[in-house]
Amino acid sequence: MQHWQLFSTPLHLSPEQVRQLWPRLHRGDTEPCPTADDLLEAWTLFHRGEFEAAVERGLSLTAKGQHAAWTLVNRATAVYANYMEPQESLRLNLLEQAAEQARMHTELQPDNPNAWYLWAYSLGRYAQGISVAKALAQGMGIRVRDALEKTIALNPAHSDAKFALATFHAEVIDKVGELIARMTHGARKDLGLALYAEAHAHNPSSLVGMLEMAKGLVMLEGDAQQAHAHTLYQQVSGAVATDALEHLVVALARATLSDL
Amino acid sequence: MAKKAPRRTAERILEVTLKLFNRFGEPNVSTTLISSELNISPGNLYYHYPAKDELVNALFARYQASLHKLLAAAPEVADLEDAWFFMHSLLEGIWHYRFLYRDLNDLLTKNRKLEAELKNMLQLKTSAFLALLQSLDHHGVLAINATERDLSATHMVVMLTWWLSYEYVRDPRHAMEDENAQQSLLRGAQHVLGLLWPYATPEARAHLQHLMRVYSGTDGPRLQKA
Repeated sequence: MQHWQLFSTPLHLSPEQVRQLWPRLHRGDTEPCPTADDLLEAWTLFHRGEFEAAVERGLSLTAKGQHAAWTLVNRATAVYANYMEPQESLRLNLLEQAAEQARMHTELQPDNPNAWYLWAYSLGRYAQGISVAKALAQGMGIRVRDALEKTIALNPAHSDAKFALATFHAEVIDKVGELIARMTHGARKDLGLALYAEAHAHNPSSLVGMLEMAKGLVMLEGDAQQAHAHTLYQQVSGAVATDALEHLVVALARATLSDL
Repeated sequence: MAKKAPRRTAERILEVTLKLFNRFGEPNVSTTLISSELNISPGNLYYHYPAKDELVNALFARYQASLHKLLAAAPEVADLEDAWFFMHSLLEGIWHYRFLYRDLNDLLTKNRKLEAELKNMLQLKTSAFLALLQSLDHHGVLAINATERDLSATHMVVMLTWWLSYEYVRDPRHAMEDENAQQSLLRGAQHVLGLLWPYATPEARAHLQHLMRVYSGTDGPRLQKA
């Protein structure tokens, strides 16, 4: 099997450092810090940017019946696919795989919000990858929305799911227009804006959230939001990244701003 | 302007993608090639355009917008100079987005938007050519009845739309390169205009022959006097 691309500069994070940074790194998904050392070590690989190794380690734990490790496996797969995999077909395969695994995870742990969130996240990214219009025609929109709503119902403090649900509203409206979006997919501009505001208020330091919000606000309100979006890009690009995902996000914001 | 940062990146991605699509054909251009050509990370490309289809759709939307603007001018075409300019501008649009025609069958099979919209585009072009022919008839440039207008409008649309494919087959290695654009477009405009010949009034016919000679850069076509 072809190996995944390596993160440019793997970070030197120890499990103990990850434990200390955990509240900040997982404020968005509220995943509890693992009490078992082996799972914390697997998460450490993820935060260092060793995504393939994180998945391998995670799978060895799920094989032993540690269902919570599916969150790590699916997150690492989806994040790698979304930010690092250069080949479109491989990227889509990985997202599809993560979505299927997350769906299984919801059966194993139906009360685990991150099982639902990662199902929505992987499926949503997959839907974007094959084009939103095509995905909506195949009925994926409803599944993504329902899984995000389920996540929030299980844990109202899940700000990542709120950012994602806001993006769902923005993407659908952007692709099919406000009227059809409301009538056929229940997507509404006011709901999207309210969800972004709520998620941002709850987790104002979420770099991924700010990046998604910058794009989504422009989709929802066009030029009226350009200045706001620009401020968000500046905030993200000036932030100090603590783990690999944040490094990827900061680099993306900087690249966007450097195009001036 | 500083406030346009997100748009600027998206714009740069579109410009480079269009260049690559035109040069190598859409099926031969991967997202990997696009991000490496732009020297941006895959994540950055996906952030702005999560699917290759979105790139195709965004480029098509631009083509459509520019074409609509141009086609709206068809009823105002009052003489042969206008007509020549109109054909040439349409061909320039096609040249600018030539990837759409280069791999048309492939794109039509896999892209729903193109499947739905391209036939509307042909219909719009046909209506515009009908308006153009009517206007030229009205201004005494042509003497053409309704049946002949219907036939000619279709002939003109077909020739204009697939002119570049004809050029491509004649010289696959060079026809799609930028340095050959001017000559291809001139030849195309000349031949589309030539379809008016049978209906041109005697004064217009002399003018038409003159125009075709000037724009062909040679002695022009050997048209027989009717």
